[in-house]
This record gives sequence, C-alpha cells and structure tokens, in this order.
Amino acid sequence: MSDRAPDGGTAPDVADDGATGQRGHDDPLVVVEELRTYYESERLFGGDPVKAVDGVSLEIGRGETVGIVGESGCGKTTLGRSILRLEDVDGGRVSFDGTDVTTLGRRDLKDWRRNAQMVYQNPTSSINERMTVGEIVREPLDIHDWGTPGERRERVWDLLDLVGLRPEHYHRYPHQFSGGQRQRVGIARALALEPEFIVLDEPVSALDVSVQAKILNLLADLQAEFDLTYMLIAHDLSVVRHICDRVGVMYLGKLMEVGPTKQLFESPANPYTRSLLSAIPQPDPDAGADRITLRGTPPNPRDPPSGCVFSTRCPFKIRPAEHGDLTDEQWAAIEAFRGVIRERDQARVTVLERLKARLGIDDRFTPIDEIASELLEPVSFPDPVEGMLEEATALVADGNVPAARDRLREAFGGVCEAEAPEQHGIADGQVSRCHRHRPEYEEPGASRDGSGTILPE
Amino acid sequence: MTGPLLEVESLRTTFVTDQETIRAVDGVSFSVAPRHTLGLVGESGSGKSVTARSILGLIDDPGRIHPDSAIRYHRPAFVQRIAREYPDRIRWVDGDCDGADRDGSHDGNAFVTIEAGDGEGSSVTVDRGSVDLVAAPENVVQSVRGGEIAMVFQDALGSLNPVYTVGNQLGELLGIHRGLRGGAATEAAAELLESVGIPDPKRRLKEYPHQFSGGMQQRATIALALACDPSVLLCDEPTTALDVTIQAQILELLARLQRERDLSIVFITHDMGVIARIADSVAVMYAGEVVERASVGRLFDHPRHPYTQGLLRSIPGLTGEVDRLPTIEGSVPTPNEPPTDCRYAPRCPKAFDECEMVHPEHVPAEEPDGSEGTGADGTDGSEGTHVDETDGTAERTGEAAERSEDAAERTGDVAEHTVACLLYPDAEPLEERLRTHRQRGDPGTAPDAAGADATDGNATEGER
Repeated sequence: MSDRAPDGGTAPDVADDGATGQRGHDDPLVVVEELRTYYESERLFGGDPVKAVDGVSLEIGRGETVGIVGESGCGKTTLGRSILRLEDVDGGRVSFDGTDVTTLGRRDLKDWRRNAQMVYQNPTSSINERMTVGEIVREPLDIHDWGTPGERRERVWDLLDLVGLRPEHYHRYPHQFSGGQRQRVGIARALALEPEFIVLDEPVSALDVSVQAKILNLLADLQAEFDLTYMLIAHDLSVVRHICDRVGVMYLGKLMEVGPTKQLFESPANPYTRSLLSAIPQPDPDAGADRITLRGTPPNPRDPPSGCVFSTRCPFKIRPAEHGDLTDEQWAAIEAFRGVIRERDQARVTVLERLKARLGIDDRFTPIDEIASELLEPVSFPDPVEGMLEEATALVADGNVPAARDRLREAFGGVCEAEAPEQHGIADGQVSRCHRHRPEYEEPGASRDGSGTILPE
Repeated sequence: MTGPLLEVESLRTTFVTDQETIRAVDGVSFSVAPRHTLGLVGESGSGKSVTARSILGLIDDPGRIHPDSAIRYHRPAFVQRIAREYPDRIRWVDGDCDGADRDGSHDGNAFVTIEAGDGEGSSVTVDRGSVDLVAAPENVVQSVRGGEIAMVFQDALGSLNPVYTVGNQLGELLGIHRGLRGGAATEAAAELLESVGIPDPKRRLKEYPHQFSGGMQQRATIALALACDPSVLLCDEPTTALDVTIQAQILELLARLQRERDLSIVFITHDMGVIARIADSVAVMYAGEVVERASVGRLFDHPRHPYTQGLLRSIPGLTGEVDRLPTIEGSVPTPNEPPTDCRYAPRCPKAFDECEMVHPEHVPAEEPDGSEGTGADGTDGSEGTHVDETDGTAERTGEAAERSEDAAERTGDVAEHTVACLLYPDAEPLEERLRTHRQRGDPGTAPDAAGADATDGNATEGER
C-alpha cells in the first residue's frame, strides 16, 4: 500500500523495496519465527490438539503491508491474534523491533500494546453498543492514562476527524451508524494510542463493495500519514491485491507461499495459491475457461493429512511412479473413494448407533460395497490396483476403517502424503512449500493443463 | 416454450410503519426466460431480497405488495392445473396482445390468463398463459412455493432446522409435496443429496445441520429447494457467506443443476464477479428500482448507467494499478416517496439540474456504434429483459461478433439493453431526452407538468 499512497507521504525508497519484497528483510519491524498456537493441547489425555498455527515464519518490514489470505479455518486470524499475544502461543518467537514479545510480563505487555493494535472483522460485535462513539474511541486512552481528560477529548475529536467522522458523532451510539461508519470507529480506536503496527482482521469483508473501497482508501491514507505497518488478514484476494506489498497464503495452519503481491498473483508457484486465485470470480463474463475448482473442504484440523496438508485436495499431487499408467479418470475414482473412507474414519459413532448396527436394525452408513460399486465400478483398473481397492473395501466391511485408510495411503499416497514439503525459494522474495519444486519433479502446472479435471466436483 | 417463464412487472412492495412508508421495491420489472439465469445486483438496501421474497409471497406485515403489481408465472402445465381449479377466474386474451392490455386483467377477479388454449371448465387445456401471483389466492401461491418456484437463502444454517436431522427435513418435504413415506422417502432424499454433490449421502441423512460444513449446509439447502422439482430457483446471495473455493463449487453445482433440471435461476448478489460467472442477463437495482438491464456481456463491456459504471469501477483488482480505488460517495437512500427525481442523483458524478426534477424511465441504450439498442420502443408493455428467442439472436449478431463466441452463445438471446438515466438516449439533445423521459413517465400529462405532479400511477406506468 505504501508505494501506492497518492500524496507521497512515504519515502521513495520504501516504494522500490516494497515492490521487490526485499523490504521486509532489510528492516523488519515484526519477525515471526516458527510460531505455533495449539488449542486444547493442555488436555490430560486423549485428543490431538488443533494446530491452528503450526510453524509459521514471517517478517514484516517497517511501513510495509503484508496480507495473509486463506479459507476460513486456516488459522489466519489466530496468527494475527498470536502475534499480538491475544492468544497463548505454544512455541516460537515473535519479536517486535528487536524485543521478544512472547516472553513479556503483564506490565511490559500492556506497555507494548500501545504499539500494536487490532481492527476487528465484525463492526457490529467488536464495539460496545452501550457506549457512545466518543467513549469507545477514548477507552484505550483511559486505560493507558494518556494525557489529561481534556487532552483525551481533544484527541478523540482529532481521531474522529481523521477517519472521516464528524465531531457531533462523539455523543452518538453505535446503532445509529452504518457498517462502514462503525468500521471507521474501530479504526479510530485502534489509532488512538499512535501504534506502529496494526493487525487488520478482515476489516472490509462485512461491508458493501462501494464502502469497502472507501475504507481501503482511508487505510492507505492513514498509513502514508503515520508510517504505519499493517498486517491485513483477508479471504478476499482482490482486496489483498490492491492494498498489500507482500502476501502470505495460509492453509491448515501452515504458510504455503509468501511473495511480493504482483509476483504471487501473476506467477503463483504453490498449487494451493493457484487454486485459490482461480476460484475468484472475475468481473468479466468472458474470463475463466481454465478454472481449477477444488473439491471438498479443508480437512479437519484435528486430523490433518499426513505429509503435505494440502494433499487431500491438491490438483497437482504427485502420483507414485508405480501407478504412472493410471488415467485421470481412474485417479479421480480412487481419490473419491479414499475421501469417503477418510470421512468415515473421522465420523463419531455413538454406542447406540453401534448397537443398532450390530443388531442390524439400522445402519447409519451406506454399506461400503455399495459405495465401492458406485464410485469404482464405472472405471476399470489394472489388476494390482483392483486388488488393493478390494482389500481396502474388505477391511472397511470388517469395521477396520483406519487400517483401510493406511493401506490406501501406502498404495496411492506417494511422496505428498509421506513427507511434509520443505520451503523452496522460487524467485526474489517468493517462497513456497511444495514437493513439486524439488528438481526431480515437474513444477505445478507443467505436467498438466491446469484444468483440474481429475477431480470430481 | 418461447417467451419468459417468470415475469415481474411494476412490482411495488411497501412497508408501512407509523412514521413512514418505505418503498423497498418500487416499480421493478424483469423477466426470466426458461433455462436462463437472471442476476439481480445492487448494494445492500437496494431491494434485491424483498423482490425475491415478494415473488414467493413471503412478505410479512407491515409489508404489502401493491395490487397493481404483476408477477406472472408461465409454465403451461401449472397454468392449466390452476385454470381447471378456478374456471370462473380465467381471462382469455388474444395471443397477439401478449398481455399488453394490462387493465383488462383487473376485470372482475381473474388471475389466470390464457393466451392460447382450448376447452372450458375442468377440461380446459392451456398452451400459453400465465398465473398472476399477486392477484391469486393464498393457496395458489402456496402451491407455487417449493413446487414451482423455490428459494435458497444466504444463511444456510439459519434455514435448516437445528433439532432435526437433514434426512428428517428432506423427508418431511417429500412427504408433504410428493407423498413419499418411509423407505421411498429416504431413497429420494439420498438421491437429492447425491445430486447436490454430497458424498456418502445415507450417512449424511442421519446427521444434524451443525455437523455439516458451511458449503455442505448450502448444498443441503439447495437439495431442500430442489426436493419438489421446481422450475425456477430464487437464490438470495447463496454464496456470500462462503469462501471463494467453496463459492466456486456452489456456482458450478448450480450451473450443473440448471443444465440437468432445466432450471431458470434468479441469482441475487452484490458481487459483480459472481454475476459475470453465472448470469445470462443482469438487472442492476438501486434504491428499489432497476436502473439498468442488459445481457451480461453488454453490461460489463458497455455499462451505461453511471451507477453501474461506479459499481464496476469500485471493485478492487479489476482496476489494476491505480493509486486509489474510485468510490461512490454516500450510501443508498431509503426510498419513501414516489420517485419524482433520479434517486441516484445525489451521488451521481454526472448529475445535472434536471436530474432532481425528472424521474428517468427505461430507454433503450445505444449500441456502441451509435445505432439504437435492440427492440422495445417502450410502448408494448413487455419491455422486459426477455426477447423472443429467434428475434433476439437475429438482432444481436453484430454485437455478438464483438465478444468471444463462447460468451455470445451463453448470452446471445436473453436481453435487450435498457437504462433508466436522463443521459440516454444520448444521441438526442437534452430537451428531447427530458421530453422522452417525461412522456414515458406519464404519457397523459403535458411534458412540463409531468415532473411536478407525479403520482403513484406514474410510477406504475413508468416501468412499462
């Protein structure tokens, strides 16, 4: 954003560096190293933790805007909250201007929070309906004992003016405001203590397009005026493209790809980034013959896929060499069959249901051979593959779903399900996690036409 | 079947409170051809959802649909069934008039119009006709709901009952509308879930809505909407709450279902990207009125109304490398007076003095080369977004050449391009344009007086 600010509020060198993505590494304000935030890991026994943020490393340069995008549930909001220490982290470091924030005590933390603020997604639930707008914006000033009461009031008026509200709004209540105006109140509150760093958690996703544009312009102006550093969390990639210098793409707690905005949008390296970009509906009726539609939803974070987290949906998954002769259609059938077994392994079965099934009164599940015949029969397979599928079907029929799942993974998973991919440097400032970047494999998209046809809907 | 399947004409839905009357939908007209998708687009508060709910008669007190409005549903088999049930409420019209004689429809209490058919009483057959859902009694509207026109809502979880399993809810519908019970109902329900792309449907039938992911919930509500095999699907922002990847899946699903089941779809959204992907023709709504109608290709290539232009410009990303996003100042006003001016004028960058005095009417937008837009001289009462299929194709050949063939095939026969703005028809000088708009607004009044004493009647006339 800084390099596009109209009134030249930022120095020209910022613009140049921002564009190449190197900025963040020369003069980092926030450095995140191997950050981990797990939920429910403190349970005494049983249950794997949900790895909401799992080993994320990221640098945010001074005056830079870094975007974090991903589907809901990928951990992007948790990442933002963890950086601000609104969540307890389970590992890793966040340093802000050289200080390790994760080890700060209560008093120091409160002091530090003057420098790091957050704007929340939902402008209706993130501000207190029972306080006037003036009180809402003044609250952080009161908490941090900023100046005299008179100065605080002055400051609030200045802030309201800054975000495009009028002085008479001071005494009004939030319910008298539209969504866009409420979001302005939230921004004014975040700015009250003159922070250097603001985490913007989906600041415009609850707003209409025309209002979105106004809030984005406001954020750009404020950044230019106060030399702010932003981390923008969004699921709308077009917003990110407009406003960010660099973008990180998250999936299931992991940062799949990071790169300068222009480069990431024009030549995405990671299969997930490619899929995500191709899912954006373009406001152009003639666009989009080569669309990749991802099937399914992100997997349950309590039971993430082995190896690469994206392997269950990846359109560019590496197929094991021994099955190199299978066609797209055959692969699609196998993957669909595996999907059903995977879901079944995760479904909880109550004691009553188990009893009913045992007594043959009522079975919650469709018999597996029915599913197998539906999904697999229309396609014919070579004998060894056929044998493996039959073996798995038999295992499920015996009630041993996990074993069937393992058997299929061994047979068809390949490297993508065996090992977690390393981070590979792609180009200047662009890094991506994918096995396909290894020299022995073809780059994503090189081997296939990118149409995603192997995947059933 | 040629001609539209669903036609909305001069729809006006108002909400009367002690303080004010809110004209949420104020003279909206459009039509949907069989197997086509009409996109209704606009900001929040522009009246999109109320339009859809009005079609199904889902307007609760204090809202009411003005009796001069017409919502005509054209499926011959349905019209015939209703005609046989209500033989004394049929109006026969000569096919040539094509329903243009609107006043005639208020003769007595007829709500079934037959344009081509035979016989009478309980053996009447209908080849072409319509049922007016505004004038029809409640139980006729009820039989339309679900069975003929179904709706998918934005909030999927909210439209499913949290305390019943999905199978239970599907079974209930199938029982009421199709008389299926027990095993047969379960089979049919599983088939429905499978048709909307839910794997392992038998297991899913026994699960509760909260056990479904957001995308699955929306698929389940689509399955519910399809349970009674409707011909028209009204989709009220069905993908707004979903991630882009899931949104893409749902849009693909709707396109497939449309092909498989010959559905007509009315798709409401504020996202121009979604419109570009799914719609054949588009109606842009602002403050309760349709301000521009066009095929999707035309609208994106040659938006005419300043509001449409502003809406398209303010999409981030589309504008490429610019310093600032262009914005539209202000917000959508709440319409509570009959329109005597252009409601967009206060926010319009191109507004001039007369915009405050004359209410713009729909006029044909011009072709890029300066020739007049297709069809419609505005007097034949059927100036909707539909055109006769053969006619339409012929008239648009010149324009189709401009676009890729693929898009032309998709959009070639659906819409004439009309716009309600005093800037058009832009070949005429200002005085001429003002006269045109005033005349269309109220043909009976002298041009000078038209702006001043516009009444309810004018608004109704205006959309025709």
